[in-house]
Amino acid sequence: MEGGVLCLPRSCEAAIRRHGEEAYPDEACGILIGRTVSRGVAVVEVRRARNLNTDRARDRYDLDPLDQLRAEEEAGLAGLAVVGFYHTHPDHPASASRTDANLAWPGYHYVICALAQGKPGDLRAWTFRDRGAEPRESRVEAEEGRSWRSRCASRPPYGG
Amino acid sequence: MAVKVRIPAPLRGLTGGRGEVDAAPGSVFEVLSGLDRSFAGIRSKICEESGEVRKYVRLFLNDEDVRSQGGLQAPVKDGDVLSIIPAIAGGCP
Repeated sequence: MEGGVLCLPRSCEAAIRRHGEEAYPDEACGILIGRTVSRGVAVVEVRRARNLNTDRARDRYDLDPLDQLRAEEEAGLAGLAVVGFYHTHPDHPASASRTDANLAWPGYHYVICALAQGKPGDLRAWTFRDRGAEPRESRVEAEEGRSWRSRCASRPPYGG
Repeated sequence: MAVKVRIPAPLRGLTGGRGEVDAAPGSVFEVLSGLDRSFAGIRSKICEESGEVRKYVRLFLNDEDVRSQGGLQAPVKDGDVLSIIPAIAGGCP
């Protein structure tokens, strides 16, 4: 897979699926916090973010930049970084859509979780060389190591 | 003391991988110009040729959107933190 390796602890994956299930039929979105490791990028925490696109919440998301700002600040203080984002595709596959590609940034992993009739299904991750570029699928690995596994947690959206 | 500028992952290729860099105080416009002198090409990733901030980039000065503080003319003082936040959006199909 050309998109690199994304180490995503099972507890973080479960948190993303749970968020998607709760938000259904709307899209859920959130932030991946982690670090660069030898094999790729390791997520240590996922944080829920608010979707500001209330007009089209069922098929679009605009992640609240204030949630993003706070995640950047807190990740930096912990010696970590925002390494990507997640969102859900209610009743659509976990592939990156043309909309996703057109609005994507290089340097991040984008996790997408599909939901069918409200039930979480496939979870895949993508990277992009540039905005509008073809998505490159990341290899999602469940564990990176025990040392940081216990740090993984799902936290509520800021101010929410 | 200087101004701290937070650099998001997509722009760290221009700052040698650094997520935070120092800049001289001034207006937001002047801070970005100074940044571009140190890290060539970074301003064009943030601003249009016309000088306006790109649609898909947000600038926060000490946790507040610069648009509510005078935009590119907002003053940035020693100790302030200017954060560059790429807009994250998408959806299906």
